[in-house]
Amino acid sequence: MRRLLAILALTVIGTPLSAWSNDFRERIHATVADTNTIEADTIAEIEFGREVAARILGSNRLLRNEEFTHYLGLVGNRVARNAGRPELVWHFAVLDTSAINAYTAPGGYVFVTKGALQQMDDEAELAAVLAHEVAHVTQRHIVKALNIKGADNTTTGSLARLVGSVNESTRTAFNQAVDGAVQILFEKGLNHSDEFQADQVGITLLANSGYDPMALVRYLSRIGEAKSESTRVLTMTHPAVTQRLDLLNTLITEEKLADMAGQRSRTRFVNNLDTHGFNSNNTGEQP
Amino acid sequence: MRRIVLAGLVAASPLATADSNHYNNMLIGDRASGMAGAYTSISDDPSGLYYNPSGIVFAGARNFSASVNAYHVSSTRYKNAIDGHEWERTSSSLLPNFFGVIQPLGKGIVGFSYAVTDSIIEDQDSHFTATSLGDFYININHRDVTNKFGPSYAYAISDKLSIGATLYAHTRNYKLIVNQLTQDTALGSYRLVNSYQEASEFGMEPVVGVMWSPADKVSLGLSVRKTTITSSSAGSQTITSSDAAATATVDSASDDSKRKLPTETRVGVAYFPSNRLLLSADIMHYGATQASGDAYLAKQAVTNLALGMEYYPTRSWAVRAGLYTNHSNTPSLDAAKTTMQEDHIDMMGITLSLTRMTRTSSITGGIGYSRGSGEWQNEATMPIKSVDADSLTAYLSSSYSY
Repeated sequence: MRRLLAILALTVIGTPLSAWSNDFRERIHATVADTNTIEADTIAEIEFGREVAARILGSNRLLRNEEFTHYLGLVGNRVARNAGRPELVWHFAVLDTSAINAYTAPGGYVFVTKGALQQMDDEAELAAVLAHEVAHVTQRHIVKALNIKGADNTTTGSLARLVGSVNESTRTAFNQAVDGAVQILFEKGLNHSDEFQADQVGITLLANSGYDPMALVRYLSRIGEAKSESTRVLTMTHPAVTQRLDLLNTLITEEKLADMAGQRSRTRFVNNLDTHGFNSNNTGEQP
Repeated sequence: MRRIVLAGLVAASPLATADSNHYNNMLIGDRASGMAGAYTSISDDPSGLYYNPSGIVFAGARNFSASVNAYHVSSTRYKNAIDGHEWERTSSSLLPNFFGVIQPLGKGIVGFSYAVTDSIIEDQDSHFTATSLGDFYININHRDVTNKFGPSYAYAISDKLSIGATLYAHTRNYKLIVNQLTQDTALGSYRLVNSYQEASEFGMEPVVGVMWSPADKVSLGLSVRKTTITSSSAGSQTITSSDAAATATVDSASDDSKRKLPTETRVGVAYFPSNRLLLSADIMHYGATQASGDAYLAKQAVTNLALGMEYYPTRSWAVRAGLYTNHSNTPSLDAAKTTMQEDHIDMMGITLSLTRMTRTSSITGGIGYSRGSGEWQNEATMPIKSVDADSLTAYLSSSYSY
């Protein structure tokens, strides 16, 4: 009897691996946003991302090292150049914390922590982490999760507001959405499917930028073995490393990415870390 | 002078006309109205706050508001009311009959809505000439409006199962003023009756709902609601004067009985075969209720049905249509009965709407039409006669996500 009830409960509640979700409710008009993003949406995304970036910097200290930040920007922009978002100006910065993680805000704001840098072996692994974050922006994961859109100033939209006597509380909704974004970044995380997609798009960006496509696999394997307070937020907000590695290895095999020669630039990377006092924790392999 | 009795104006009790004989007089909500109210298993926008609050967790936007402005007109035609004359009563009202807003709160979705579930505004005068009693004049001023408003909260247990609740405050205000004059100028006789009735009530209406997706593209919904009247007052005053009496007579009555309203259970199923087409069906069951005081008679159980359809011929346009029933909660008339019987009219309706969508807003124009026929009786033991009725609602609504 108990077994029957358990089966019934699972059937009703559903399991994470159930074959369908409530996406079937989405009507065709809602898909317009996916293929028809307008300039107002990009402006809204950048403005929103700037606010989220300000919140990130409000609770984390920025590493003020102009030379290293410049180097970081060179690597990040080399990857972002292939991302298909030429309208964005990308910003890359380091957060002065031992936590191992990276964050991105919509509109092109990418942060990587000092703790994460110290776990990396070479420039390709740095590019891999940045590529994953760039992919979150290009795929608009946070924008979609929080439904960030530009103002609807069409005739229909204006008439709808007039008929409905809508008191447009966009500023209140905006602030709530910023809170929601910070919660996603530091507590809840995005949907696992978004994280897997960012891994897959990221590894493609990595290859297209001339870096070793195996870099993300190496980095995730290394931090997956590091179980400490420094990986707490990463563990909370991302799927299990083993799951990510399984999917990445499947993609690498299918696309034969392991056969591609790619740049690793370990010497340049280690020199930059050492020069600016990061003291890499990883002795790593020789390039 | 003998009096003329017309349906619904002088019944078993002066206050019994304060009752309501149908439960589905006005459809509620932007999208739901176009789909004949077959919305229990959809409810994924602010309209869902009324039908099944558990559905709002599946709304396509985090923040959402919607409102409906409706023009509602209804007509009831009593055959052979006075010496072969047909008597028609009409009502018309223009009102904002729904507003709803939803937004995230914690792990769930919170909402607030306001709905006008019934509205009668009747102002008319009629004159019947050459009846068996001379000329007959009647004018009526009738107001009967039911409002509901309150908060909702819904929570997703999984991506296939959700629960939700709405707590409505229920108010109803009723007023009926009737002046009737019968006079025979040839005989120099007349009879004048002035009747004033009013009733008001306040109560609470909790609604609980659950939404479940047992299979891909299928949704099942269940909601249950029960209105409990917590305070009520009803009163009437009838003044009668005629040539036969030197002074007028005044009859007053009052009643603080609380109307018994039924438990309403809605079960629905929706099938989403594609992102263009949606089909839905609802069954609504209202339990029987007991009489309360002199003002409110017993009502029988009623089951109504609604079928709805939504189709997007293009990305930006949606067409919605539906069929629904609105059966009477009064029993069929019985010629053998010796007490006054209420009208019994079973109605069926059809709805149609057209919506223009943008990425964040929509605007809808729609109509709903219902028609029915039934029976009525002037007075106890008098012949049972036929009556037919229809109603039309035209509405303009909008929704906005932000």
